[in-house]
Amino acid sequence: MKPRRKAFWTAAALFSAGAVLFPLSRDAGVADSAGTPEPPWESELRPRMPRTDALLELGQKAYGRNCAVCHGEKGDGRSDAAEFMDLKPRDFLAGSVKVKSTPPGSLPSDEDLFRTISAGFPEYGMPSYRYLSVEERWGLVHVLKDFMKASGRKEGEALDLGAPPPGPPDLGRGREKYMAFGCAACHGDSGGGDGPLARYFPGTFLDARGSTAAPRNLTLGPYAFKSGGSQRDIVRALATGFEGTRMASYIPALGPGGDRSPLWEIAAYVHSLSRDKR
Amino acid sequence: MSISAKLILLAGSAFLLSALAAAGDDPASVERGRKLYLKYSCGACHGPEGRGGIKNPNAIGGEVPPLARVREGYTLAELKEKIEDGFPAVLQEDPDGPEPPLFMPAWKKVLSKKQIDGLARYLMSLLPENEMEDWE
Repeated sequence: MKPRRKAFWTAAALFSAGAVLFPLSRDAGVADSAGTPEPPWESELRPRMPRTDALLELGQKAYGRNCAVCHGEKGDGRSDAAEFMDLKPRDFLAGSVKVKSTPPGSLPSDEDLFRTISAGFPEYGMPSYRYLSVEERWGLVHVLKDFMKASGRKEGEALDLGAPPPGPPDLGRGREKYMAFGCAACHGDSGGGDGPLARYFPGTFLDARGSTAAPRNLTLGPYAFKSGGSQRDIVRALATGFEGTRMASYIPALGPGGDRSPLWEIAAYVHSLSRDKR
Repeated sequence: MSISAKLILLAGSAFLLSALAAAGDDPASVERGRKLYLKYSCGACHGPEGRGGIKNPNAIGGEVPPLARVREGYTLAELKEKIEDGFPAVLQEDPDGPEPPLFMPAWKKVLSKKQIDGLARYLMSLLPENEMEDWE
């Protein structure tokens, strides 16, 4: 087979694998207050496995077999398969990822990378790699961190997300905050991803690498959310933003003191918009 | 009614009409504008009835400008131009910081001239003339 054709079919296969494996990977786990089960990799990522030569070697092998076809041998996101993708595979050398727990401008934490490798982004062609062993996935974390050194970025502490306000969520208040934080401008009044600014996304709202980054339809969640659909996941997305897109960190909007409760109120409201309540 | 009384009435109503037109208080266009404001979700950024208070991290003041008192800073023509061309590059609180998520798009390809005129007149009508602050 010609290399380009091979790359296309590999990408196609990965995409379908993601669609099949993704629902299976969300099996067991502890439910959070909103009833969203904790994903199984949360227990796999403790304790953190530090970098050793053996682990790195395991990771490098796993990278060559599983990741390089899209992210490129050098981790720069350049590959034949990438040409067929609308949302381009991550260029690790830039050190910037969308889904993480650390502040904008800093590197993702080891756990962030482990989670992303384990969960994948099945909607975008990256399947869950939970079928790799825990050691292989930790090895991959260290391979990616080595790539990210080229960015000169520093490691960051995970942002404090606070705790959900006690008692049942006040959805009316959540709705108020949803409007006051301007969520409706892009995500729409009813969360359908059809706010007044949404029409300006194709072509103008490109992320840093030229991929279109349209506002999420929030009624499709929680599993359609790129960074997870639990209330804590939504709070984290609001706190960190999605680097390289218009989705900013909303911590500056909290004002002096930075009380996190508005973020939890918004998260409870957004969670309630989901048609799929699994 | 005498001729002079008719003339006074005519002059009076002409004066009144022109004053209303200058202030943008043509009721039909104002109502058209109010409906457009709702239909195109202007309030998602500028708040209900232009009252503002919508967050926009790293924009000057951290919020989208309210429109309820826009009449104090703009003429009708200037306001229409602002709606037509938008304001894509929002002024940043921290120039090295991230781009504010919300911006004012250009509406001239979405709305007709008549619609933009109505919208601008509606925004002007949000502040009654007797509540305007005297800047002179």
